[in-house]
Amino acid sequence: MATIEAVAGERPAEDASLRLTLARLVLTPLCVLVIAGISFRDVLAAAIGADWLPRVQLHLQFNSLPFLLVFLPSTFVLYALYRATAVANWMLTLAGLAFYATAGAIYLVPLLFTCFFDYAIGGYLARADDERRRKIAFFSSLTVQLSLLCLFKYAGWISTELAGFSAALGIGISVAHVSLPLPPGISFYTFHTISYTADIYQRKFQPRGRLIDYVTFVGFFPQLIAGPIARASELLPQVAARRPALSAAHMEEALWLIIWGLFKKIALADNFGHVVDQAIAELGWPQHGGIGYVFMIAFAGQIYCDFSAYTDIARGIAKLFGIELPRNFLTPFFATSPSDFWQRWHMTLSRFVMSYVYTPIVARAARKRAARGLPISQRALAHSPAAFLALFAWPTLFTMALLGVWHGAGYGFLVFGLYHGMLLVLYRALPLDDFLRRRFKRAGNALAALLMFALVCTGWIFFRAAPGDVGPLFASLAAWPAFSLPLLLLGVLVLATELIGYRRGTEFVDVYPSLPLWARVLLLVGAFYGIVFLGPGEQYAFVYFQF
Amino acid sequence: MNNAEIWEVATNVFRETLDLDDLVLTPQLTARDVEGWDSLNHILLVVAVEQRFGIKFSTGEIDGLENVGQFIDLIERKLPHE
Repeated sequence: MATIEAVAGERPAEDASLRLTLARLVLTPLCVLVIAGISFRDVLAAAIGADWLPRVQLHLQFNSLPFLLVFLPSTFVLYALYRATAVANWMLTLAGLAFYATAGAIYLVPLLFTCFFDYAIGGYLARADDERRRKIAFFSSLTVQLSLLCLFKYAGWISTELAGFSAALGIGISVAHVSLPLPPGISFYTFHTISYTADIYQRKFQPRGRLIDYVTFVGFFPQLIAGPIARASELLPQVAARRPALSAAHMEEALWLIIWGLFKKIALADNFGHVVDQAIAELGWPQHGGIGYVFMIAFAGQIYCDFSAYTDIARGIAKLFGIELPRNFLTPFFATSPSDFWQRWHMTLSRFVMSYVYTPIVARAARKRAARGLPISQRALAHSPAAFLALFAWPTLFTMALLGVWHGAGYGFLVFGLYHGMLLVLYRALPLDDFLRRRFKRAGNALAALLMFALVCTGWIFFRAAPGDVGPLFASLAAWPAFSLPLLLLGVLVLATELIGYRRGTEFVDVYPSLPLWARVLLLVGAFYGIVFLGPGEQYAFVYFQF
Repeated sequence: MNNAEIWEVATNVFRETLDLDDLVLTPQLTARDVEGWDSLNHILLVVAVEQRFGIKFSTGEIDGLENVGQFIDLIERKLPHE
């Protein structure tokens, strides 16, 4: 790989180098064949009845050997061979679409429709001057995209609920149950295309016009399934530009991000997940007092390690292709207030709803109040309940409810969103963290973080538990916390690494480049052994793949 | 309205909205430097500025402001030129 990159990196006059041409001639068909072969292995084997085909079938999982050892290197070689040419993004996109098609080729239909539809609208928005027409074009695209998202995500849930209601009320209307398979990553790629049209609509950037760059941006496989949700204005210019050759330092950083992500996923998240499953099982036993504590703390560990692992791996892979993806987490469990938490947790999603939902709603409410001659100020917020409700409480609850159901259909996610909305409102009216800091100085900060952690953990019960388990889990909190040794060990490890990141104002994974060689080697070797020996044996899918 | 007048009116709007009577605006000042200038108060500030100057900002403009200097420049561009 390194040799190929070096060959491509020399960029001899007009790519006339014999070596590069030869490498392209030999390696291009080989890599294309390998990628196509592992992407459609099972289909191919069934079609031609060839059982002798190597049993290497690619799936939508970063933590799988066919992805890490076959797909990723082949795609990287293709990219490196053509990096300095206009074909590079074609290679990335076609490989990415093959990867996506492993979930089912039919899923390419909604993905490509969303992609092309918003590309056309984006082009129009960039050209048109008439503000009224631009507004109509933008809002029609928004309506189409959100309708598609809702159709796939919520049609089943809503139709079941409606059928239930009509039966309960004894109305003779029968509601057909709609059940559509959920295209992987639809919540993420829909937000990517929305950010494309929205950024052009708000004149934040001008599209360059090359369709392939845009498709590469939406279909960029590291972030296609579970983000981070990059904005068109920050990612598309990187994709459209010709990227420099990968330096050795960048390569090391990229591999570290991937290895650390795999460690967090396999050795930490999956073991936390095992504790969560056991806690659920114990809930069925007669003696289960205090198990709710184990459940919520273990799930906090699982979802954090799982999702941040996915983000680390996505960032690492993107780095291999010369692209910097935004950060998604910043030591969230050291947050001291709900608003602090949402600036540290799933940051790209909170940034998205902040820009595109919360800000327009608050601005609208504020303009309405101002037009009626009512004050809009910090003082009004503090002294007038009406101002507090109109300018803060309602917009916050609405935005957070939406953020909750974005995760999926079901009352649990709605309650999760509303719960966090209420925490935000409560802390605005009654800043507990400020009070603790004033009262106890430095210890107050730690107390505020501990309180926030407890509040966040409580929220995870709504998020994760089956509706029937929520009651028993809360009831079990009345007893003294149950003890779990695996949870303690995992917790200490996470806390230690998080603390290192927190003290330096960054994530642990980003401390790596500033470490001396021996420490870097130790970390790499340790993470490698952890991946091989510490996994719980059973593989868990990434939690966020279901959203 | 000249540049000095814009600064003066804007300073008053900031002081009133954020409830900070002795706030002094400088071009490099950012939300992080001022206690209480959070995301909510930022939107209120923009709307208060809109009302005072009789102009309107788009959502993208509300989001994209990085410091007071940029804010004042934007106000200047939006005001009708005599």
